[in-house]
Amino acid sequence: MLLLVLCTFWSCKKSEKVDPVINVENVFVTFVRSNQIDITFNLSDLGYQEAGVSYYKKSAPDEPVLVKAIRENDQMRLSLQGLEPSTEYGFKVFYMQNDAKKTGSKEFTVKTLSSELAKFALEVKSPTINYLEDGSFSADIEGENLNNLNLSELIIKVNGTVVSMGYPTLIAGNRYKITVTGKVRPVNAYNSFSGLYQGKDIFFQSVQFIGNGDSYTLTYTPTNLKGSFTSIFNNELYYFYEKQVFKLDIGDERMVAQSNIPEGTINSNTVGIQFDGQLFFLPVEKGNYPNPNDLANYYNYPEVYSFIPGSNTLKIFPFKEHNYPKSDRSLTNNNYFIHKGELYLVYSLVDDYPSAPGLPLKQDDYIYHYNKSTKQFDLSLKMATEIINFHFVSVNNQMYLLGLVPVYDQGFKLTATFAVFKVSDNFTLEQIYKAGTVATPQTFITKHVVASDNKILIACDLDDYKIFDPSNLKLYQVYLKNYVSNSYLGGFFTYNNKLNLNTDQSFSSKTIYEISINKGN
Amino acid sequence: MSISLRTAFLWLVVLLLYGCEKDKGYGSEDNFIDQPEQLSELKAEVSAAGTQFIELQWPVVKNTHFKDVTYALYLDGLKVIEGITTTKYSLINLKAGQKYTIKISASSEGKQLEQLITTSTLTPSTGNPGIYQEYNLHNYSTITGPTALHQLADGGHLVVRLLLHPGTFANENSKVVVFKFDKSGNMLWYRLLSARAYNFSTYGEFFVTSNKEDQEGLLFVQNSVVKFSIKTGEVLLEKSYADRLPEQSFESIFNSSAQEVIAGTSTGSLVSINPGDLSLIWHQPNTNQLGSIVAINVDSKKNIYYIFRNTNERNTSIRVHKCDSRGQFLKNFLFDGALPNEYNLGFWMTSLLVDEQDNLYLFGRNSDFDFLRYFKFSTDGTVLKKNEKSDYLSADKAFFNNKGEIVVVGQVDGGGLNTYAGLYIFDKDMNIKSKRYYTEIPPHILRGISGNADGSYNIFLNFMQTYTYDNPNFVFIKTDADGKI
Repeated sequence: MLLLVLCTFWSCKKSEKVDPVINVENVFVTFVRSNQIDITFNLSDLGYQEAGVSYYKKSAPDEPVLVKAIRENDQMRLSLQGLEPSTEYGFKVFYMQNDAKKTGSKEFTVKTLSSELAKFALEVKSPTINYLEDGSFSADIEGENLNNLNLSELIIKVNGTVVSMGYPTLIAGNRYKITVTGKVRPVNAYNSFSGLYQGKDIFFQSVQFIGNGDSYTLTYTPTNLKGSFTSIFNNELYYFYEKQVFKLDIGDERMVAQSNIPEGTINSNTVGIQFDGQLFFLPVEKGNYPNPNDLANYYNYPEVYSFIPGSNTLKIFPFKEHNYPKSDRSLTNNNYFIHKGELYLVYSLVDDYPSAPGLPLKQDDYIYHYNKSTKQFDLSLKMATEIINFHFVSVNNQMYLLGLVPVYDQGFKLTATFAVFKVSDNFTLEQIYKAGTVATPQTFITKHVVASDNKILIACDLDDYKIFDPSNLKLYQVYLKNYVSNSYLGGFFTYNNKLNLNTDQSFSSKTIYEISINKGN
Repeated sequence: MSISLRTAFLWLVVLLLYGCEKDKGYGSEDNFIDQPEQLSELKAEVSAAGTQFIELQWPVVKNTHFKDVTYALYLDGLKVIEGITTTKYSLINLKAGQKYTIKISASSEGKQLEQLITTSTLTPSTGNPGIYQEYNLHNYSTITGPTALHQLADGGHLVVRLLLHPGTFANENSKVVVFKFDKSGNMLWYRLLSARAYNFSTYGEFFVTSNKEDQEGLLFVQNSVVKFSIKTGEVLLEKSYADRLPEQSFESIFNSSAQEVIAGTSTGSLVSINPGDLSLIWHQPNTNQLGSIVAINVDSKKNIYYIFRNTNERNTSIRVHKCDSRGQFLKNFLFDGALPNEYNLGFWMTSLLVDEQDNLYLFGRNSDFDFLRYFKFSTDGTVLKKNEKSDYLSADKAFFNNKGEIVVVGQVDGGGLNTYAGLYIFDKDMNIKSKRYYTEIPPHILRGISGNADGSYNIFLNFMQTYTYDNPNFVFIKTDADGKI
């Protein structure tokens, strides 16, 4: 009987398995000739049986031809061959999943090159092109008989911008190369070369550009763990969802309810940080009506909740000394950080309106220290530095403060730029880095900060990570190796000594991604 | 017949045959004359040239022995390319207006011909080359809003504009910015001033002029005057006239002498300011009619004239007031701006000029439609000439050029985002001598213009931001002596 129930249970579970939604990503036309078009693309998830494109002459869209792709290093690759010169072709990407053909809605249009110019056979042979810090690059375009091109009638463009070129130089036989120099946006990306000779298309190719300087790459690796907004306590995964606390039973791959969350305390979909046998949650604005008949007395104050798994008890830490009328001030910059085994809490209260027109918004920044013996937060300090969107982080027992500081021109604060301060244990600050110049500062909003490999990993957006290296005081852009679809930036957590990211919000998968950072391209 | 006999017979026949032909001089030896191997003439010529390239073309050079001929090119003695088989080639990446010696050689195995050609690339434009400059101060700020322009004696300019920037810390997102440009448009300095300190809004206007032989600049903003060093941009003196001109802003200035700048305000006050200590020399508050003073000029008898925009009239009248040298009101001139075939709902007059014979010139436009309006009149208000037919120019600025002609500049609306500057030249009898439209550059808004002694113009503008053209920079263009860009 029990077996039967179990079997039913498992069969139920089985039927819940949903096919992943596969997205077509990074469709690139890598090369165009007079009779051939090369295409690469990626599929976001596994589960497809085959993939390819269906293409057709734009003049005859009713006669599509299917070409199946081959897979190389997770990338799908194919060529449309035997095409007519100077002809526009349309194509759509398809894949087969559960024997059903699914075709992408997006149509791509490519025109083959003219045949009379095919003899020049221009091509960037190098698979990648290095660019310098400012985006400047130099690339060799090879081809046949290039010596016979009347150069004043040749225009080479990269991403639509004309680049400068030199004379053809002989490589061997009748093969020549023309060196072009130009500038691209200094990010690792595919950029397209195109060429016009006597007004006719002679050349099209997409080539990967890679930064020449030091750079870092970030790779998302899917784990077997599921769930969003993960809190880690004693290396176990907890979730604070709608009014309930769950623990992930890894063996069973199921959420086990632990206890209820009392009304008006821990918000759903929030993440706690473990310290002193508790999970501490970020402060929230707590509303208070001292007199329910007089709403004018309504005021807010910050309040912190902690949850003790096991005993399933909730602790409340009100910060009533910082009460403020509602809709007058806002709670921001709230964060925890652990330094030398001590927990610190930071939050700011910012005026919603200036006290007089034109005056800056008043901002009060408070740092609290959690006293392990009294089990209370003690006010350590009110910060005096003009900084917004700030985060503290401890790296190798050294505290750092990161945030946006004013950019001054002729004494006026014109904008904000990213800066890093070294913070002593008694919270004296020393500015060690200020990004950019007065004319070209770097203004970006930091969402999450974490120490990683003696450096500071900064998450601004899902496709915008940076690394600050305190050892050489340099800020690096981190390039992504791969992307996660349907994602959000939910913050970092460490599990099994590996850095993970709350990011996937696909209803069906909710996969937790491990992230790894590597130096170099 | 024996063999020898047969041979002898054959020989006889042969001899006979030869005997017949002998007269014509045939012999048995090989007399074929080997033609000397040579190349046909190399006659290259310059087929096209630009500022950065020279294109050469030549008829095919043939080898008498049918060998392949290839060509090589040398630029100032340096081999640029060889092995060419086409008969057209361009030398690229050259400098404009420079002389180059090009050697072209045609060669086939063992044979070679050479030809030297000396030629030049084109100069960008003949005579006075134009200048193009773009300005921006930061990657997060834009130079925008109203424009004040003053040309200095050395051909340089003072320009005042508004700088928009993020209000992240200061909770203020604009600054008044004063630029000093030299005559080539190089930015020598800029000075930022708080827009809020002068209660300046983006809808306001400011004015700039110079004094003390271009040592000091004067900025009129709202109801304050800021005196600054033209050499450094340093602020020397500031004065607010809020007590005498409350709730008013300067709407026009006229730099009448080294001792006086006359200014008119949004409520019709006329003041005379000492450019030295910025004190008020006299003040004529307007008590009769509510309106603003928008353009001031002075005749040889020191009478003051200005365009008066009466608030109650909603621009339906064209009014010029005449005052004495201390701003005492003398006379009101009314002009009829109505033209057939136009809706004459109102008029927006913008410029007032006075020539050496004390003729006055008034320019502006139909206030609702972009049609030009102009009047020439005498010091007693008698109209000497006015426009009789519609002309599509939203006239904004007028000044005398180096020949004493009148330059009138405004926008011409080409529909949609397509708008560009139009420049008309009038003689003193108000005949239109020429019209020029700056359609060769992308759609733009003219921000300021001045003329140079050689007939060229200094044009300050912003490009329209369209889907295909995205350039928010402030732009300076110096035209050639014909006004051409």
